[in-house]
This record gives sequence, structure tokens and C-alpha cells, in this order.
Amino acid sequence: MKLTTFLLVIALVPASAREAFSQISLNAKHATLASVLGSIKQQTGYVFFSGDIDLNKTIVDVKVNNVSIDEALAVCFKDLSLEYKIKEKTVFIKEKEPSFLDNLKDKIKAAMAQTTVSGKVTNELGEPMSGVTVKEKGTQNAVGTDAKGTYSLTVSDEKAIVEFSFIGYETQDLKAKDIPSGSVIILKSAPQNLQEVVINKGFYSEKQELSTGDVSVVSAKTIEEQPVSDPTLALIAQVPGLNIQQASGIPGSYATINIRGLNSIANGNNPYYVVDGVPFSSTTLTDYNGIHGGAIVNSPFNALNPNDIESIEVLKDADATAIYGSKGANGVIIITTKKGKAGETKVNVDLNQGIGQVPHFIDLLNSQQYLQMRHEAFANDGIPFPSLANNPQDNNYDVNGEWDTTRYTNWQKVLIGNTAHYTNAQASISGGNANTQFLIGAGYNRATTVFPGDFGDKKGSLHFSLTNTSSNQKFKTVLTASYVNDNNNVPNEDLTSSITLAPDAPAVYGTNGLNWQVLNGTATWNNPLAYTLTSYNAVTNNLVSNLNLSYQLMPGLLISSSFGYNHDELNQTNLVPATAFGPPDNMSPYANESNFATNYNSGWIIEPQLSYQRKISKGNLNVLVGGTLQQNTTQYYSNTGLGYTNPGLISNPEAADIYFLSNYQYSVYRYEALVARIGYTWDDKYLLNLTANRDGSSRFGPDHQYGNFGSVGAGWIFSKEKAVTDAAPWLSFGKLRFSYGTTGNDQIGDYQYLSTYSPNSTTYQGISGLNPTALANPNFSWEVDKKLEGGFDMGFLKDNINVSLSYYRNRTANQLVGYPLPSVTGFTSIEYNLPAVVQNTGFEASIHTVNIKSSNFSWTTLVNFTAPENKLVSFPGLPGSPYAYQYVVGQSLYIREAYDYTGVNPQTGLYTFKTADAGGVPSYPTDIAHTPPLTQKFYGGIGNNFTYKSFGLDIFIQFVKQLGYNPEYSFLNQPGTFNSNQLTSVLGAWQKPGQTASVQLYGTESNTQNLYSAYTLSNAMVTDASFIRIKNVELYYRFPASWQGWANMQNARIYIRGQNLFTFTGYKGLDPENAANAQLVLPSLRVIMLGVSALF
Amino acid sequence: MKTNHQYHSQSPKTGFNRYTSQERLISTFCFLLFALNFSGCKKFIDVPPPKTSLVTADVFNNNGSATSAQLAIYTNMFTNEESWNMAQSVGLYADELQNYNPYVTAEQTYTNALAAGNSTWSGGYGTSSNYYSYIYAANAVINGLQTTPGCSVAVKQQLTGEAYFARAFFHFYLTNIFGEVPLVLTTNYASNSKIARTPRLQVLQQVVADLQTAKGLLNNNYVDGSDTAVTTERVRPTKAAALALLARTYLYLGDYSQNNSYYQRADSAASAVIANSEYSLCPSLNAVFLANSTEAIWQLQTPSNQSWDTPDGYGFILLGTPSTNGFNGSTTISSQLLSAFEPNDQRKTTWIGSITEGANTYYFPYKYKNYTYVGTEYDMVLRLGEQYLIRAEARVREGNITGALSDLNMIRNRAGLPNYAGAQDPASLLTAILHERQVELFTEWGSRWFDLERAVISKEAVNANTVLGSPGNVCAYKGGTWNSGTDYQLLWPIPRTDISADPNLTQNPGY
Repeated sequence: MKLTTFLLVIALVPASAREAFSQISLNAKHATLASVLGSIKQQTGYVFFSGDIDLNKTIVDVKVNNVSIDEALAVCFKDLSLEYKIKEKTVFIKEKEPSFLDNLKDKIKAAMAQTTVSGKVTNELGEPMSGVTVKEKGTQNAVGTDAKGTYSLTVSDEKAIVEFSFIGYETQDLKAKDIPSGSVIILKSAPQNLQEVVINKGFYSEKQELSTGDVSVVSAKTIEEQPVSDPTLALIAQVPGLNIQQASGIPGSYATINIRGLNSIANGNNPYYVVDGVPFSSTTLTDYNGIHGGAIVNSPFNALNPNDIESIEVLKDADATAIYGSKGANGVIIITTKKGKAGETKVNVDLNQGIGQVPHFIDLLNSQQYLQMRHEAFANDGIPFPSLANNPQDNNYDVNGEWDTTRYTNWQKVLIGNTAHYTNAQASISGGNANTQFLIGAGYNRATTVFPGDFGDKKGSLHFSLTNTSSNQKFKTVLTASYVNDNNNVPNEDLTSSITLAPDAPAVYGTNGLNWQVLNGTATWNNPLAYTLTSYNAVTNNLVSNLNLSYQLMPGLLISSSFGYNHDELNQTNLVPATAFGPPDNMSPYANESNFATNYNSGWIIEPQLSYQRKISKGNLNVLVGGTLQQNTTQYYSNTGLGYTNPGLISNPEAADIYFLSNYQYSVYRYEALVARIGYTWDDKYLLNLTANRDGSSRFGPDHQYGNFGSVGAGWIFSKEKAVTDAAPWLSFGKLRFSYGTTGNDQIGDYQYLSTYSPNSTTYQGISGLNPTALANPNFSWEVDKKLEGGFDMGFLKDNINVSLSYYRNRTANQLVGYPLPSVTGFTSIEYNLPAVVQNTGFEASIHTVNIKSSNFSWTTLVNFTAPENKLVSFPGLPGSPYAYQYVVGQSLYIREAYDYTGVNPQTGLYTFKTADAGGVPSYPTDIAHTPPLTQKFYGGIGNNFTYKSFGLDIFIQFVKQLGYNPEYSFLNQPGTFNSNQLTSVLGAWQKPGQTASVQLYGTESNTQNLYSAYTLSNAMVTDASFIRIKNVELYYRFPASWQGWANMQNARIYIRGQNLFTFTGYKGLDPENAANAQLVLPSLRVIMLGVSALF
Repeated sequence: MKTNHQYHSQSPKTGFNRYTSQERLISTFCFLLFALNFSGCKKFIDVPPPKTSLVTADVFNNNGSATSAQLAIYTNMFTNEESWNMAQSVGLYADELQNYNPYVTAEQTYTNALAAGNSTWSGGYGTSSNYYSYIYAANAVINGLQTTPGCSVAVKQQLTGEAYFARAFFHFYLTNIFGEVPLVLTTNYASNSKIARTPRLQVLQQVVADLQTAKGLLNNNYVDGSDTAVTTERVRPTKAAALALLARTYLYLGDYSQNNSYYQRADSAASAVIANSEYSLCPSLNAVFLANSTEAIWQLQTPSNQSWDTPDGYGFILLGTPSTNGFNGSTTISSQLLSAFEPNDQRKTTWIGSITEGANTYYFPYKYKNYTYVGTEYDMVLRLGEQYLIRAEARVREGNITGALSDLNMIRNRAGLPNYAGAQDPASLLTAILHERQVELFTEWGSRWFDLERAVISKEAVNANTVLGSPGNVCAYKGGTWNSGTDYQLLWPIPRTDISADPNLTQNPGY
């Protein structure tokens, strides 16, 4: 606090007049005139007026000691083409007025020597480049090329050097006399220098080269190339250390994202997300309380448009995340949207359309095999084969004659075998001048499903950004806003779970709509298409906006503040008519049910900051102090209507017999932080970065709200040492970096420290009840994460090969858990700090190489690799705790409780396990062993980009080495039971004594069922789920420059994109990517899209 | 492009060292934000208490919210379907119901094979929800009203009485299902999470103590939401409710302690209820389970927004073949119960329903007639009929055979049966009363199972071991194995999750 106040005084004092000192001392070498005059002003209180003259561009050398203002100014302005006048305590500066003779002399000279160069500038493909700066070197004399790439510049004489420059291209210098009139200048694209990339670390930005932290950047190109509507899905396998698992292939479904493994045993492992400086809630708004069903959870990131994103930065280590203090424990993901660039107004259009299908089906039994299995099961159990005539109450409808056993339905084809269609249209207008730039983008995206019926997700979005810089370059305003409307009517259940229906199950449609195959007034099956009669709709409206103001108080000292606001709202309607149930459930008017839910999450954030930058000798000092004030409000309402006499009125709550508010939630979260950072670089060689953070969160009890966090980052750019460059001239860049620090985690619910009562939604004697909802524990506090990292960043052969290697170790202590309580306390858990320590270590690498670069052909490769490891380091009191069987000290948190499977007994045909008492069904917890960790051993991606003349090909391959659940796990019923189809792998089941088999005999009875249940809870359910997947492919063709010029277009391309094209795996399930998920879910679809894009 | 440098001596706008008024404003604003943030603003993160809930101390400082806290216990008992869950689970465990539900929990209950060690058995302290959550709520009312002064004396007295009653009610059922259970008398989670089990007699004695306290505090009349005004709605515990539950507890205590003085106390408690002119047996069996019937001592009101009058009606009534998909409509009256009715017993025709599908007829409990919401039935918790049977049993133990016969015949006559004509020795009479309880109180809060269980303790000829084991063999009929040797199945297993969370808890023997 004291430090801040002190700095504020320093910062604000120059704004007020101060007593003058007559004696002035100056010692500046190669300093800007602005800084020298600033120093005089500081010493004397004299102020300066300079009109349009930029004093930062004038360089002076001054050394005076205890002189008067007149002397000091005389020294300063010596040799300058400027003159000054002192009036009281104000100094007016203007350009020297040349004498008449001088003028005349110049004019004659100029007229004799002046020459004009003109022509056209194109890129290597011959496409005209607009906005290229054409400048007479060493002067302010410059023009820009127009839309057709043409320019004309008058230079002082023909010896003048003309410079052509454009960001991302190699600058070319030519003598004026060497430029024939009308000639074409071709600019070569500059090799991408990774170290030059400016990374956004939240409160501040810096060059990758000078960063001591570990930050990965994913560019707009990588995101745009992928046919996804959720931008986080575009990050899959792109970033070392970032693990993303999509819940299913249904449009808009949720993905679990974590950076560098599980840190927390029980609470949030979500990274902290920031969109344009505004925190973005990663917890989904979709709350199904009161909305029935709900296998599918909407991803909150579906409310962002991937095409609006300029870059995504993933902050991983302590150095990078410490500035986020309490929220950085699980890493930080910063999403920055596109901004306008100076230049002529341009329109960018991108249109594409495509299809998606389930890439791979599993092998299930056909009717004949299925019925044979059922017959064998009854024979094994010694049960007479069921017959409707002999035993009409029996529910073995698939074999007893009720269902037509000659039918065969391939349920995979019926339920998930359709083609999804995608349409995506994006357009943006951008432009501006040196002071003001703008961008307006609009998008429309539609995705349907592979399920039968007309379902899908539609998204419309609008994005704009406005940037203004005052003409004195001091005052800067950036305003951005994004608005997305997403309309999702994807059914709220995943039909993939129904593919195990018996292959001889009835036809889905009968003569009057859905067929329930009624027997004695009761449906004999749950028709999987019942959902087509229900209606689920979720509309999301999301606004993210941010205003950033900054003002340069004096050279090097910047005061700024960011003001962010976001509002995310979700409206859900779920209509379930009684007709969606089979008889007799469809008879009650109360079976007609509708649910309406409204849900919002709204927040603001203000982040003022003061930063100071100063060059001290060879060193460069950066100091930053800042703060955060943040509030977040969430509210949820749901209403339920029951007892509609006519299903046709189900969407009208007025027609309900009973209509009531079934749930209401409201909570407020507040957060404040004070941040200080000192960065120091010496000679651009030695780097030091110190960060400190004091945070307060409303989620903790009154005495535990604040936490202190901090980090140290250090780096050494050894390639700048002469000894190194002499010994290894092939080394173009080399940096050694190290960081250590602490961050926190407060990802728990609000108000958990209070003992509270919440109302019932119903009344008793007209009075709404109050229920005890939480036990008070005012003593829990921050979960603390200690991060350690060391790394090498190197460039070889003129940065044609860039390698970055990191090793990290994160240790999380003081674990926040809902500690299970015995139920005699009346509650199941209490929020509690568990003294357990979880460690995540890992090795990460990324390599970027330019393999070939010639004028016609280029080939670049990008590889990333991660090998993570998770370990429970310590857990005092584990044996007596509720986690006693779940975790083992020294092992990963990804292990699972499991019985030790020992194969099928060749004599009995039954599964056997290692048990404490002889044989039989293993018992819990005596016979509990553990599986190896069900997680990745290593993973990564390999991207290759090829260009040949006008063609380009990008191929991205994902690879994962991991263990997952055996697909059998998701079937859950033992082979031989009613209405439960199986994988064809069960065909090798045991049949006679002496036979060696891997599958136990078929059965319907509980004794075999018990062993089957034990089998599904055994280590036999763990299998290798490694895979290599051709994740993304893009092939494009750029239209010839001549066409483009004719149509007044630039960068016009036609492209074909594919995602999840092929997967190489030994895994038998639908999708190895979902192997950590023990349920049957829709796999990621194979998507192919065709599109065009152009810039006008 | 040549820039023409103009000389602006007077323009403050582009001055080197001066702020425009706009810029000054912004700088000042930024400064204020800094000041706000870091100087005196510790208050910022002190969020106001949640507006969707009340902090515990505020709940009991006000008549209205204190009443809400107590009434929530009844709302939850209804919405958690306690009466139906108890009737179905314990009914399946005994000999009252036949199971059609293939789920493991139902199968294990039905075959008396609750597997404590197996993760598939998910039972807790209760038959669906955790009974200790009600006990916590009751303790919180007792504690809250004691420590905060905001409620009026009359309200405080009635609510405290109801809370003691509720605490007794749930401890009574817990000890009858699980035997030795933790006796929880405070809201302190730190000590409760390390609590040990208390012997059954001690639990029952605490139930008596709590009911005596409740009796002293509760109103004679039924009260409405104001806790003081009289109403005809019999949906809140009264002094009579405390007496009725006391009568039952004394009867059980008599059996469990072998101390005959408890029977005399059971007699007098039941007599006090029977003598109360508020209560009379309904002449029509159809009227017994109607809302506010003259026989009702305590009923659970149907809370607002329900799709059915009672969970029992919705859960037991069959509209087709029994369901094999979940608990609702998955049980029928067992053949043992069906054959237990004497000829012409009106209860068999009035309180049992049937549906014929194809060649099969299914019988189901039909005490509650409404499947969906009609608004005429309430969930019965305590009724006068049981009090006659309690007193009859107590009177046999006391040697008052005439009195016992008169009480027994009250119930028989109402069901359209003649006076009891069997042998009048105590053993025969006790068997006759046990039988009468079977056909009168079937599928009401597990009554039958607790009768069979205490008959084991009091060494009656007909008890759980003889019915479920040999010679009755009901357990074998259900597909299970009854272990008459150790009797361990008389008690349910202590929940596994609790044993792992509380180091001082032990498992019932045999599990």
C-alpha cells in the first residue's frame, strides 16, 4: 500500500507546478530532446511548448553542471534546426526560419536535383500490396502504396536511397536511379522470427525474446483454419501442456481443459480465462436444475466466435501467471480479439460450407449373433427359454415372441449415422489512419447433428474494435465489444447411449407415429426417438466489452485503466409432452411437463495501473503497479409447469394445472487485487522479473479473505555473449530461463463459509420452508500452488530452427475440498483445507523449423510435445479419510479403484479375481487394488505447412499415448441380458470346460451378473487408448494476381479443409479421444468443408 | 509526404507539457480508482449475506422464519416420500410385498441380502434420504430458539416442542432399523463426525425423554402457520401426537427391556389418546386416509405444487403390469399378506386394489385411492387405530384380558369381522394381535417389520425368524437365505460411507 502511494505522488507531482531551481545539471548521451527537456522541467519548473514538432525524434548529447536555464538551453539546441524563445517560465520551440538566401539556395539546388520515382509493389506471388511505406531514407519524406500497389515519390536527388517497408516483409533499400519508372518491386516475406513476437501477459506485454516466463501463443490463422464453433477446440494438441477433452462430438458440447494436469483433488482445475481483459467464466451457465434430462452441457466458449480472435495466449509458469495471483493456479488463457489496422478500408469475406459424419463405427452383434447369445445365456443359467405363452409377465421381449426376432436394425446407422451440415459466413470491415483504427466483424455459423431430426446450433455474432491515439501519441483509447447470439436446439440427451438396443428391437415408427410395441397396456421398450417429440431450446446471449484508456504522463510513465463488462445470458425451454412416454406413463396429465429457465452471469472489472519504464545505463527497468476490482453476479430462475390437459398447450404456462418457481439462485462474488511487478533487463542479455500480488476474495471467511502470492523469473540470453557466438556461430538465439513462484485457487462456491438456510420452492400450511443448506467453516482459505520451471529457448541457423524446452514442477498444497462428513452430521461435506500435496511435473518441447524456403516452394514444420506426470506427494491421515481407497500416496490422482482381474476360469467359465478369501466375488474394500493412471503418458502435435506457387497445404497431426477405459466398460450389462447388444469381441465367450476364453460365459442370472459387475470394476477395464490422428488438413489455392487485380481483390483463396480425417489406433471403441470417459458418447466427427475467402 | 511543421504558440491542445481538461479528468478518475481500491476499501470484498438464503442466526430471530425452519421438516418428509419409501423398502424386507424391480438395491432388500461391503448397496441412514438431516434440522431449531431471543414465547414453545418431537420420531425409526445408532443431540459437526453408537435401549429412553419434553410444550389443539391459532388441519404434531408416539415407544421398550412397567405406561399413554374426544375410529374404511379424518392424529399435508396427493398413492397404485423400470409401481401385495386376511375382512376389498392384465391379476396397496393430485388425501403418520392395538397388546401383558379383547374387537368390528373367538391365553392373544396389526397396519411406515423384529426379542412364537426363516420360509420364497442362527439380518448394515468417514463407528455383526 505504502509503495503505491509513494509512486502515485511521484507520478502526479509533475502535473502541478513546482518551485524552480536556477541551477541545472544534465548528463545525457544520445537522449531524446523530449527527455532532456523533461529533465530541465523537473529541475526548474519551466514548461515547454513545441507545437507539432516531435521532440522524441531529435537526439542530443548534453553534459552541463550547475548552469543557468539560458546556458542549458543553448547547449541543448546547439546544432539543431530548432530555435526557442523564453517567455516567463514557458519556453516556446519552433523550427528555425531559414534566411532568404538559404531559401533561394535550397530551391535552386532542389530544382536541379529533384527526381521522382514511381512504380508498383507486389508480394512474391505478384499480388499488389497496399499500405507499403515508400520512404526517402533518413528523412520524413514518405508515401504509402495505394490499393493497386502503386506509388510515386519525389526524392531530393537520384542518389537518394528509397526504402520499401511493410510489417512481416523484408525491407528493401534501392537507389533512386536504380528504380526505372513503372518498375515492380517485389517484397519478400520475412522469416517468422518467433522471438520478435510480442506476447500479452495480461497486465503487460513483452517480446517473447525478453520474457522469463512460459507463454504459448496460438495465432488467428491456426484458429480460423479449423472447422469448430468453439474456439477452445481449436487449441487441441496445439499447445504443449494444454490438455483438452471434449465431452462429445455434439455441437456446443463442453470440453474439459486443464493446463499441466490436475492440481486440485476436489475443486476447480479450470484455467483462468480472460477475453480482452474481461474475466470469462469457464463454468457453464447451463444449469439443469428443473430442466429434465441433460446429458449435454453447453460449452460457455460456444458464445465466442473463433473468427473474431486475433490470438490466444496460454500462460503456464509462475512468472507468467503470478500477476494473476489467486486465479493463476491452473494457468491463464488470454483471448485477444482482432483490432483494426491503419490503411485503406478493407472488407474481408470468408464463406465455407461442409459436412460431418461419425468417422468410425464399432462392431456390434447382428440379430442372429445376438439371439444366439441370448439362447446360450438361458441354457447356461439352466432357465427354461422364455415364452410369452408360458410366462406372460416375463420381460424378455427380445426372445419370447413379443418382438419380431427376424428384424435387424443397425442402431448406429439409425441413431448416429446421419450427416451433419455446416455453414459458416464471416465478414469484416477494417481500416483507419495513423490515429484511429477500427474493425467491424460479423459472423453466422450453423451446425446440425448426425441424429435423426432437424436439430442444430445456430450462432450469429458481431464484433467491433476502435482504437484511437491522440496526435501527440500520449492518450490512447481502445474499445472492443463482442456480441454473440447462439441458438441451440440439440436434443438434451446423447442418442449414442442407445446404440446398445437389441438388434431385433421393434421398429421406431408404427402406423400412428412412434411405435411403443404395447403389451397389455404397457410399452415394452423405451423408443429412442421419443426425444423427437420433446423440444429443447437454449438461447445464449453473450456480450463482452472492454474500454482501455491510457495516458503517458511523462516519457516512460504511463497511467491506464481497463474497464470491462460482460453479460452472459441463457434462456432454456424444455417441453416434454406425455406422448414422449410409452403407455401407461403417457396417461397422466401430469406427464405433460414444461420447464423454463433463465440464467445469467454478469460482471464488471476495473483494472487501473501505473507503469514506468526507464533506461538506466545498459539496463532497462520496468515497474508496474496495478489493481483489480471485480464483481460477478449470477442468477438462475427455473419454472415448471405440470398437468397440461392437452399437450398442444405445453408451451403456454397459463394452461398448466400447476405452475411454480422450482429454483432460484443468486450469488455475488467479489475480488480485489494489488499487483506490483519489477522487470529489469541488462544489456538485453540478463533478465529479471519480480511479481508480487495481494488478493482478496469474497469466497473466504472474514479472517481469511486475503492471500499473498509472488514469483521470481530470471533469464540469460547467452547467444548475446561474444564467447558463445564465436564458439557457435550457428546459434542465432539462445536463452536460459528459470521461474519460481506461488499462485492460488479460490474455485469454490460462494458463501461456503456461512451457515445458511434456503427456502423450499413449495409451501406447507401456506408457508415456504427453510432448509439448512450449509455448515459453517469460517476457517478455510486459499489453495496454494507452487510452480517451478526451467527452460531453454534456442534458435539455430538464422532462426530457421527454433527449439523451446521446458521442465516444470507444480506443487499444490492446502487443498480445498468438500471434505466428506459422516451422514450423522446431517450433511455430506464441509468446505475444508486438506493438508495434501499434489505434484504435477512434466517435460514440454516445441520445435519450429523452416525446412525449405525458395521463391516458389516453402516448407515449415511445427512440433509440440508434452510428457506430464501427476503424483500425490503426501496426504496426512489418508487411511482414516474418505479418500482412503481412492488415492495412494506416491501415485497419480488418475488411478482408479479396481479389483485385480485374473482371467476366466477354464473349468467354470467364470471371471476370477485376486481375493483375500478363496475365490468368488471380490469384496469392497478388502480386495481393492488400483489401476495404472488413466491419463496421457505423452501427447502432442506435428504441423507441416507447404506452399508451392499459388498452392498451400497445411497438415496437422495429433498424437496421444494414453490409457483409457476398455469400450466394454460403457456397456455395463453382462453379455446375455435383455435388450443389451454387445461388441463382437464377446463372441469368444467360454462355452465348455477346458476352454480358454477371455469372456465369461453368457448369463442372465445374478451370480454371473455379480462377477460381471466386479469385472467392470477391475483392472481388465483399462486398455491402451493411444492414437495418431490427422486432425486438420487445409489445401488452398490463391487466385492468380492478374485475376485479383481485375476484381480488385487481394488474398483471394479457395480452400478445402478437413478435420479428424483419419485416426490410427488399436482402440476398439468409438473414439479413443473419449476413452477417459466411461460412457458411450458421440465421437468427434469427421468434417470436410469447402470455402472461399477474399479481401476487397 | 512532407509534414509542414506549424508553429502553434497559443494552442494548449498540442502543448508538450499540459493536459487537456479531458485528459485531466481521466487521470483524476484513474487516481480515484486507485485510491478507492487500495486505501480504505477492505469492505469491498465483504459481500452482503446471500439474498437467496438466510444466515442461521437470522432464522431464529423471527417468528415467521423460525416456523419456516420447522415446517421444512414436514415438507421434506413429504417430498422425500419418507412414508412410501419406508413402506416399500421395509415391506419388501418383510413379508408384505412382492418385488418386480430388477435394480440391485431393490433385489438386495427383497432377498434380505443387504451387502454392506459391496459398493452396489447405496443405502444410508434411512430408506431413501438421510434421517440424520431431519435430526440436524430439529436440533438447529432447538438450539436456535434457545440462543436467540427474537421469537414470542408461545411460538418458541410450540416450535421447540415440535422439534423435540421430530428428533424423537427419527431416532425411533433409526434404532428400529439399525439397532445401535449414534444419538445426535447437538448441531456440532466436529463432535458429531466422531460420534460413537449408543445402545438401543438408551436411544429409546432418549426418545421417551424427548417426547415427554415435547408433550409438555406442544399445544392440545392443531395450530396453523401462526403456531398459535387453532385449525382443523391435523398436520402439525400436538400433545396427542407426542402421547401416541410415546405409547408406541413404551410398548417397544417393554419388549426390548423385558421390563413390564413400560407396558403400563404404554397403556396409559394410549388411553389418554383414545379418551380424547377429538379422535374416533372412522366407521367407513374408505374415510380413514382422507385428509383430516377423525382417526388422524398426525398427517403430512400435501405441500403446494405436487402432482399427487400422497407418494403412497402414486407409488403403490398400479395402472398396468408392475413396472420393471424403477421403484414406482414395481411392487404388489405379497401372497403371504393376501392370504392372511380372514374371510369377509372388508380391509381386503377396501384397502387392496387389483388390476387384471391378460391372464394375470395384480394386487396392490390401495389405502390411498388417488394416483395423481386430487386434494382429498393426506399422508397418514399416526392414527387412532394403532393406539387401540397398542393398548390391547399392553393390556395382555398387564393381564387385563377383557380390556385387550375389547380393544381388539373395536378394530375387528370396524373391518366387518366378528369378535375374536380364539383362545384367550396371553400367547394366543399376542399372536392374534400381531395378526390384527398385520392386516390393519400393512404398508404403513414399515409397521409389520418392526412387529416381527420385536417379537424375536420378546421371544414370541411368531416372529421374524419364524416367518422369514423356517417354518414360514418367506425369505427362501423371495429368493434369499435367512440366517436364523445369528439373527444378523434383523438389523440393517451401518452405511459404509459413514464408517469410513467416522473412525468411531462400527458395523453391525454379520455384515
